[in-house]
Amino acid sequence: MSTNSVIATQPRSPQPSHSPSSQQSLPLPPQPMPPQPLPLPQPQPPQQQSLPLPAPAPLPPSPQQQSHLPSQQSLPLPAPALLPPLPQQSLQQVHPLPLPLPLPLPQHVGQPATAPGRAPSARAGLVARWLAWRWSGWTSPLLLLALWSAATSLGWAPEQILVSPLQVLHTTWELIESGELRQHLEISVLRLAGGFAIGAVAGIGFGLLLGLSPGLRAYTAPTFNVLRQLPSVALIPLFILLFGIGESFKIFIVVKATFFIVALAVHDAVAGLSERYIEVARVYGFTRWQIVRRVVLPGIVPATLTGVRIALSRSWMVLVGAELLAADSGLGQMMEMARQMFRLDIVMVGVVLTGGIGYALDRGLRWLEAHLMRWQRGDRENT
Amino acid sequence: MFDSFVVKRRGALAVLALSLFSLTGAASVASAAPAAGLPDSVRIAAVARNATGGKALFAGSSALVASQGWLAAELGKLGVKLEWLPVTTNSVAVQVNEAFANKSIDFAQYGDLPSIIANASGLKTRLVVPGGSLNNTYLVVPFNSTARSINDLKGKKIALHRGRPWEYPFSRLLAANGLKSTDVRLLNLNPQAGAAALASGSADAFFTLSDAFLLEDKKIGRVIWASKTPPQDWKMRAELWGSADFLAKYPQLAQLVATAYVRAHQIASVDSGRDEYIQAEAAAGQPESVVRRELDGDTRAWKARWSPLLTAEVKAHYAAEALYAKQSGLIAKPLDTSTLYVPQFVDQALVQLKLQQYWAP
Repeated sequence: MSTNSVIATQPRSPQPSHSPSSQQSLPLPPQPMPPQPLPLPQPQPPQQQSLPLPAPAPLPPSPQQQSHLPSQQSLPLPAPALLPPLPQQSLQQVHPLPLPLPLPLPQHVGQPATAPGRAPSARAGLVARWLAWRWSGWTSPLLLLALWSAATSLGWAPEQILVSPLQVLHTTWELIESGELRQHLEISVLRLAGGFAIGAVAGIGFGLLLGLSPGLRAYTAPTFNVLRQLPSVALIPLFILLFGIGESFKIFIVVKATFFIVALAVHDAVAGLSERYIEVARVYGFTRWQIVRRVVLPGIVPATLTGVRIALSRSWMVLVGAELLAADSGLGQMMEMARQMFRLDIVMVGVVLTGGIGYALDRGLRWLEAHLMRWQRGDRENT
Repeated sequence: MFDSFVVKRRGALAVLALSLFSLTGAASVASAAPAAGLPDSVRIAAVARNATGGKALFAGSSALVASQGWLAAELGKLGVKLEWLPVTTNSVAVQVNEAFANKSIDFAQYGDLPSIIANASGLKTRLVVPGGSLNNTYLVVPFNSTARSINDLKGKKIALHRGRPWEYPFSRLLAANGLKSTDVRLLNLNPQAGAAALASGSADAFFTLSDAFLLEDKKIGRVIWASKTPPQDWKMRAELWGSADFLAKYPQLAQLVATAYVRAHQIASVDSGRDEYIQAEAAAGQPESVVRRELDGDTRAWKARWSPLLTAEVKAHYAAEALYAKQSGLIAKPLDTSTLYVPQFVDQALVQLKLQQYWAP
């Protein structure tokens, strides 16, 4: 900053007046320069104050200047030479350009730059301002809620089928008070956590092996690719026969839903790694394990996190589906039982909660993804 | 060349116009507009077993009504179509109640407990033609299980689809053996999942309908109890229910529907009707041996099993079942079952068919 300010003040020094003389006396590298004294804005000191300073920063000899400050008068200063013969107007045109260095611009400099920017946003009107508002993300949920309320209060559907939002809220409260909701939620979340942890760890491990070992790929890829095409929901009856309808069945269905998505994401990430990284690592004499640990693993983190996030929301859906079909507890079972009891209000509570929890899980992992990948963002900002 | 093209085109247009005309003409003849104030169609939901290949194969007395064709013809005279809505065995109760709620059906032949649940939650349906006592319920245990009776299943896992008509017989069975519903662990599973649970050993027993015999045939399960010998009141019931709105609005059409069902009951209730009924059920996807075993050994006589009369026994059954539904939390508020009956339709049908003395009350 201090150097900048030094540089910035430099053109204001009276040296431009000396430059012509120095030019004549010393042999300079050939410059595309008029032989006549530069038409620098010499006679307008008052205007100079109001004018922005035109990028004096890229002046290459600035350190030189600083070091030779005492002998400034005798030395040839190439600095003014680099400055194009800018008339006053062209200086004004330059100033809105992004300066390569954060110069402490005077207040009045910024004003002309922002003024033209503000005008279109004012013209864009209500919609743009609405979208710019920080709560505008609530637009569609609130519209949906309004539509739902309107549909129930106007009786578009029978009350037994379309329950009002207020009734759903009321039922939610009842379920919370009775402890029923907590019991169902707990077991569902436990199943999800268990199955997801197993599936994700196994998926990462298998995906890595598949990506790194051509031999394993040759043996297992066809089977893997066929199995991953099977929709988890379609496997529910088979899983019931294999594992019964106890906890293991639900955990395995979540494992299945998670494993293939994560394994595929990791495998693709490994396959997509640039061969050059590996080559460079080999040049450095990395062992195989070092290549995996220091090149492959860090390289696949972004794609793996995305795969894990997709797998989590998918396995949540599959779990609720499995609970709908065969379970004695859990959110899906609460909904299924309620449907049998013709209590569509409880079903709606389940629907809203399933969506809400799925959304929260996804947002949570997105946040984690952003948090873990912050080095990448920082990297980008620095470059 | 050009001329012939024009001629051809004109000819084609003429053919098109003619065919369009004849089509609309035929359509208007086929679907004569219903008489003033009548709906386009009467819609009845009924259990369909193997509705594969686009063909719905109905079960129970609805299959008889459909195959006899009397109702379709009578309604046709009034310009009203007869529409059957097939529902699958896995979730008859839910499908029918939801169809009643969104007014996509006018009648349904289905179970007692779902009807109680529907009415307790504010729907208004009425019992039009009592269905007799044709369905039995069974307690099945795994083939190699040592359990001999419900008492051996105390504390065990029993698969039962909640809210279905066989839940009440199950509750009677428990109560008769001094057990409470908390003495066993109920797994709420639809019949398919229940059978799978029994096969995989994750359920210690399964309470269901005649599909129990299929499990026995595959040596997966063993029937240890059937509702054939205990009091008739224990039996599940499936009958013809109608939307209260429809009954009030179109009593003339409702009477035709009721008469058609009573007529089908009478035809089936003669001795030779038994074999015809078995054939009809077999055609609807139930193996004949299963149908025979389902019907055999029942304490009530064949003719009496088809009785469409609204007896004191039927009313007592509903009153007790509604009480059970309330006590077990299936319904939130008590239901006065005396409002559910509209016996006038069956009475009128018996008069029309001259069957007043046919079934003893």
